[in-house]
Amino acid sequence: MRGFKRIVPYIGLVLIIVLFSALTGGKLLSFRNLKLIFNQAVVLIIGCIGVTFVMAQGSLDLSQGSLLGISGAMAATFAAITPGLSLPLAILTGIAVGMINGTLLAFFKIPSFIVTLCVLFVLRGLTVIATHSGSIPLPFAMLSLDNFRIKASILVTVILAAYYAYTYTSLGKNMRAIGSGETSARYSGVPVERMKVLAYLISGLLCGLCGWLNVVRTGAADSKTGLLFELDILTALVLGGMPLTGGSSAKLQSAIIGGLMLALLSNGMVLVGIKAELQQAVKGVIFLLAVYLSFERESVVMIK
Amino acid sequence: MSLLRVENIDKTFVTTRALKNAAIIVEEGEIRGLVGENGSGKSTLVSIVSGIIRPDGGRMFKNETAYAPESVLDAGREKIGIVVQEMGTIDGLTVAANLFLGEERLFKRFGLLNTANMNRRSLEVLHRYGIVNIQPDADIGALTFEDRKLVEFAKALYIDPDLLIVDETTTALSHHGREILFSELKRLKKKKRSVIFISHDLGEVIEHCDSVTVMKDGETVDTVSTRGLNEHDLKELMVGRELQHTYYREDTEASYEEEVILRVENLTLNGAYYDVSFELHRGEILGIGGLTNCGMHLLGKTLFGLKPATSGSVEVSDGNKRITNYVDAIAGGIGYLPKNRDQEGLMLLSSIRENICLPSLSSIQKRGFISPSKERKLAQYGAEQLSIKMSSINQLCLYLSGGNKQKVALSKWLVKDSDILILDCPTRGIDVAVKASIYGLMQELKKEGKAVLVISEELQELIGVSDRIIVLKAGRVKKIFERRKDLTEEEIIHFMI
Ligand SMILES: Nc1ncnc2c1ncn2[C@@H]1O[C@H](COP(=O)(O)OP(=O)(O)OP(=O)(O)O)[C@@H](O)[C@H]1O
Ligand SMILES: [Mg+2]
Repeated sequence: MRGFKRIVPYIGLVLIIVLFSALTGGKLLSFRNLKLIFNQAVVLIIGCIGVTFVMAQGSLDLSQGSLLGISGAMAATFAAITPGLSLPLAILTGIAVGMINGTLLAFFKIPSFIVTLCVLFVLRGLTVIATHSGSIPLPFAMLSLDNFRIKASILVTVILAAYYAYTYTSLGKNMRAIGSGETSARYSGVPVERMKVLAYLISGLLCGLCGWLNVVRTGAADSKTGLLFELDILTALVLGGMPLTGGSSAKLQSAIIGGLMLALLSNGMVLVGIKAELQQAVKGVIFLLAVYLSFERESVVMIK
Repeated sequence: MSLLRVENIDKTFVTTRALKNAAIIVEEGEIRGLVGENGSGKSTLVSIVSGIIRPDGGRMFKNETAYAPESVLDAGREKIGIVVQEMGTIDGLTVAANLFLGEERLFKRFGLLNTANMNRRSLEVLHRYGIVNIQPDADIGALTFEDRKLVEFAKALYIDPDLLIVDETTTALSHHGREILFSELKRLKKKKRSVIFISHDLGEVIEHCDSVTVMKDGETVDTVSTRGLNEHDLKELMVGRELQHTYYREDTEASYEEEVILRVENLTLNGAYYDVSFELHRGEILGIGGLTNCGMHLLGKTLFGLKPATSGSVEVSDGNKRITNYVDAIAGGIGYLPKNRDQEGLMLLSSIRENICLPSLSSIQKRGFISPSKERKLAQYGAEQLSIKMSSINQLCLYLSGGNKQKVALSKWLVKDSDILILDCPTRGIDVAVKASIYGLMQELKKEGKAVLVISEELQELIGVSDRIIVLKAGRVKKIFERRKDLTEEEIIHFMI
C-alpha cells in the first residue's frame, strides 16, 4: 500500500500528459508549447523546492505569492539603477522575509499558516506601493537574460544543491525529524528553533530567485504579480505526494514532479480553452482530491 | 461459565505474524496475568479483545455469546475496559473530556455540552478511585505521564467493567499509583469481575494474579496457577530456556574512579527540586530514587539542558563546560532517555534507522555529507546490540512493540557513545531477558569509564545496579546510600516518605 502510494504521483503525471495530448491533438507536446511549459515549470519547481524544506517540518509557507511580487518589484526598481543589483536584491528580499517568517514561528510560537498568511497580506500591500499600483518595466538590456540556457542551468543547480542538502546532510534530516516529532527531535539534540528559521530562510531565498526569474520573463514587475502563487505551490506539492504532516516520508521529488504536473495541467487547460476563472476552480477541486487521496488518516493525531 | 473465551486468533501486520492461534479463557472473578517477551503479541491480543484492532481469523465469546467488537466503544458497551500500554489519552482536551470521550451525550441538553456538569461528574469519578491531585478542567497535556495513565485508568473503571485489561502500565506508575491500581483490582475481584493484567514484573504478576498465561512468538503457550509458582520458573517458561539466577551486579561494594565527570551545584528549580548538589564520577552508576513527584524526573531534564533551573549549575568536567541547553549537553557527551518514550523518546512516524542515527549525524558526517551506508551500518549495529525485534531497520517505530520501542530509544545514545547517560526509567516495559542485558550493558559502560545516572521508581533495580543512591524527598536530597550488601528497600523507603 505504502509502495503504491509512492508511485501515484508518477501515474498522475502520465495521465495528465496522455489526457491533454489527446484533448489537444498532440499540441501539448509540440516544441513551442514545451517551451511555454518549461517557462512555467521553472518558477513553480524552484518555489516548490523551497517550500519542501518548510513542509518537511510539518509547517506551511503561504507567503510565497506576495513574496514573488515584492521581490520582483525590488529587482525591477534596483535594475533601473544598476542591472547587476536586481538579482542580489530579489534574493535578499526573500531571505529577509524568510527570517521574519521563521522567527515569528519559532520564537513567538504563532502557528505557521497564520504567520505566513499575515505576511502574505502585508507583502501584497507593500508590492502595490512599490509598483505604484501599476508596473515597473525592466531595462531593455536585461530581457536577454530570459533564455533557455540560463534558466535551465539555474534550475539544475537548484535541484542538485537542494537534493544534496535535503537527502544527504544533517540539515535535511533534522528538518524531517522535526516533522516526525518535534519534541522527540529536540530530545535527540536537533536545534529545533534554528532549523525552523533556516527552513523559512531557504524557502524565502528560493522564492526571491523565482521573483527575479519571473520579472525577467515578463519584462516588468506588476502589483498583481504572483497572485495565488502560494496556492499553486501547495497544490503542486500535494499533487507530488508531499504529506501535509511532513516527516520522514516527505520527499524532495514531490516538488519536482508536482511542479511539473501543475505546469502541464495549467498549460493544458489553456490549450483546451477553459476559461481562466474556471481554471482556478478546477485547480481547487484537484487540490482537494489530492489531499483526500494522500491524507494519512491513521496519523491525524500527530499533525501539529 | 467463562466470562471471556478467545479461540484461534490470527493476526498478521503486513509481514509480521503477530498472533498465531492465540487462545485464552478467563473465568468470572479471575485476575489473569499475561506475560511474554517483547513482541510476543500480548498487546496485539488484548487490542483485539478490546476492539482496537480486528483479528484476521478466530472467534471470541463473552458470557458464551459471540463477541466481535468493532471499536473500543463497542467493547465498552460489552463492559470491557482497557488501559493501553502507550499513551491512551488525547492531547488538547481536558481531563474531563478525555474521561467521557465518546460519552458526551450524557451531558448534552439541546445539543449543547454542559461542561460544568461533566467536570463535576469527572471529579466524582476521579475521587472514587483515590485520584485526588488531578483537576477535571486541566489540559491533559499539562499532566505528568503517570497522571495521564491514572486518568485512563479511571476512564476504564467508571464503565464498571466485567473485564478490565491493564497493559504494561505499572512501570509508568509510582508506588502511590500502583497502590491505587492494585486495590482497585482487588475490589473488582470481590465483585466477581475479571482482569487481564500484563506486566514484565513477574513478581508483581505472581503476587496479584490468580493464574498466568505465557505467550511466545504470537502463541499462547501455557497457562499456570500462580499458587506456589516462583519467579524463576515463570521466567524460564517465558523465555523457553534456562536463565541465570540474578541479573543484577555481583559485586557488593561501590567502585568508581576519582575523576569527576559531571558536577551539579546547588541546583534549584522552584516548585520541583531545591539545592541539589552531587558529583558523578567516571565509572559510576548513580541511582536517583524517590516518589514520582519528588522532582527527580524534572532534575533529569535539567541535567540534559531541557528544563532551565532557577539557580545553581550543571557542569561537565571536560573543559568545565556549563550545561544550559540540550545542544550543549549533547556536545558535552550527555545522552538522555526520557520516561515518556512515545512523545519524547521516539519519532514514531520515522524508521528505526532514522531514530537511532539522529543524535549521531554530526559524528558520521564527512564534510557535511552523510553516507547512507554508514547510517545503515550504525543502525544495524545498534539494533543488533539490543536485539531489537523488527522486520528491518527501515520499519517505522510506530509498528514496534512497546519494549522494542524502548530499546530503540536507548540505542540512539549507545551508538552515539555518550560519556554520561541519564536514564529515566530505563527498563520500562522491557522483558526479563532484555532487562538482564541492559543491566549487563550498564556494567560494561561502567568498565569503559562512562558514567550512568539512573532515575527509577524501582528500588530493587536501584539497589541492584547503583554504586550510590541519592534519595530525594519533596525535591530535596534526603540521603545518599553507598552500595552495600545488606541494603534493603525498607531502609530506602524510610527516607522517601
Ligand atoms: N500496527 C502494527 N504494524 C506492524 N507490526 C506490528 C503492529 N503492531 C504490532 N506489530 C508487531 O507485532 C508483534 C507483536 O507486538 P505486540 O505489541 O503485541 O508485542 P507485546 O507482546 O505487547 O510486546 P511488549 O512487551 O514489547 O509490549 C511485534 O513484532 C510488533 O512489531
Ligand atoms: Mg505490548
